Amino acid sequence: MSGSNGPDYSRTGGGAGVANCAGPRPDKPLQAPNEAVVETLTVGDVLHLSLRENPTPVIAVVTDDGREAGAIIPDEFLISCLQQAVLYTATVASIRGGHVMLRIAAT
Amino acid sequence: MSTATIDLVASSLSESAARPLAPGGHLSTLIAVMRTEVVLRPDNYRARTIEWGQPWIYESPAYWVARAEQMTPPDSPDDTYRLGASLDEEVVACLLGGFAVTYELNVAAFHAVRDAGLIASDIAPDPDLIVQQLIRPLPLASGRAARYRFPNQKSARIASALSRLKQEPAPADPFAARDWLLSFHGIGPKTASWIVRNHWPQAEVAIVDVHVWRAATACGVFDPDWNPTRNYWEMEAVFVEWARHGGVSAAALDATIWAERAARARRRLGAVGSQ
Repeated sequence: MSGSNGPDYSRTGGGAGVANCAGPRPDKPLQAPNEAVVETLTVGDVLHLSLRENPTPVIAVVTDDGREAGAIIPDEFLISCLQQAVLYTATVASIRGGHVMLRIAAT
Repeated sequence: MSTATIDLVASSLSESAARPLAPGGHLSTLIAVMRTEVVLRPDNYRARTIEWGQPWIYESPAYWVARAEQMTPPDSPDDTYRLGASLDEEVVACLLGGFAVTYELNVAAFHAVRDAGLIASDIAPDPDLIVQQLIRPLPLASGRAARYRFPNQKSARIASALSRLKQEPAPADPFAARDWLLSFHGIGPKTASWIVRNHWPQAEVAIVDVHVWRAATACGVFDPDWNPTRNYWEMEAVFVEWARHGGVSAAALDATIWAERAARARRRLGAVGSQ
C-alpha cells in the first residue's frame, strides 16, 4: 500500500479475493464494435474471448469463424486466466443500437 | 523510495501464448487510425503530450481511466480509503506501511498499536511501548502470523509523529496539512500524500509509489527519465492532470493502478515461489 507490497486487500477497501477463473464475471460492454459483425448478432449468440498482443494485451471478442466483433476492457484477472489457457465465452446479453452487452463465462 | 532502474516493458505477455492481432483486422486497423494525442497541462510544469489510447488497450492512459471508473462507483463513501478513524490513526497506519511491508502486515501492525491504546492516549507514547507491540508475531487476516520488520525505527518515527500531533493543531486544508506532515521525521512526499489522500479523499494528490510510477511511465504519462526522488511534484502534477482529463478522481486512479499492479506483482512472486 503506497509502497507496501500487496495486495492482501484492495486499497479501495474491498477484498481482492482468491483467483478463481471459473467464477462469475461481470457483464462487459463490447468496445470498438465491428459494425459488419454486430449487425449480424442477435441476443443469445455465443462469441469467444481471444487474448492478442499489440504488443500489450488486447482481449478480442471473436465469432466462431474468427471474425473480430470488437474487444472488451481487459483486466489483470481475466488476462491472467486467459494466459493460463482458460477459455471464455461472451454471450450476447443485449443489443441496443450499436451497444452490445456481453455475459462472460469460463467454459 | 527505490530508485532502481525500472522495467518499462509490459512483460505480462512473456508467459503468454497470446497471438498478435491479425494485421489488417478490425482491431489493428482501429489502433492504426484512432491515435489520440492529448496535451496534459499541469500547474507550474511543462505541458506533456501523450498518446491517450483506448479503454480496451491494456494499460494505456485511457484504459486506466476506464478501470478507475469501473472500480470506483460514483456513490463511494468518503471514507473509502481510510485506515484510521482520525488523522492521528491515519498517520500511524501510513507510517507503518511502505517498502517491504505487505498491506496485510501493515494493517495488522496498525491494529496492534491502536488496540494497545497507544494512539488514543492524550500523551504521546514512549517508543518502547510501540516496539513491544511490533516485535511480537502479528496475526494477519489470512490466519497466518508475521513479524514486522524495522520495529525500532518505525516506533521512533511513530512516537515522534504522535508527539507533534498531540501538541500542534493540524491544518484543516489538505495541502497545508501535507506540507506540515513533510516536516515530520520519516515522512516524505509519498507517505504525506498517502495520509492526505486517505483522510481527505477529494484532495488532488498522488501517491507515486513504485506501482504508479511504473504504470504511468509504461503508458507514456510520465517521462522515462523521471523518478520520484527527483521529480515527485512534477509527477504528481501530471498525474492529477491525467485524472482530470479522464474525469476521474486522482484518488480513484491511484487506487486502481495500485490494486492491479500490486496484484500482478504478488501473483508473479507466487509463481516464482512455486517453481
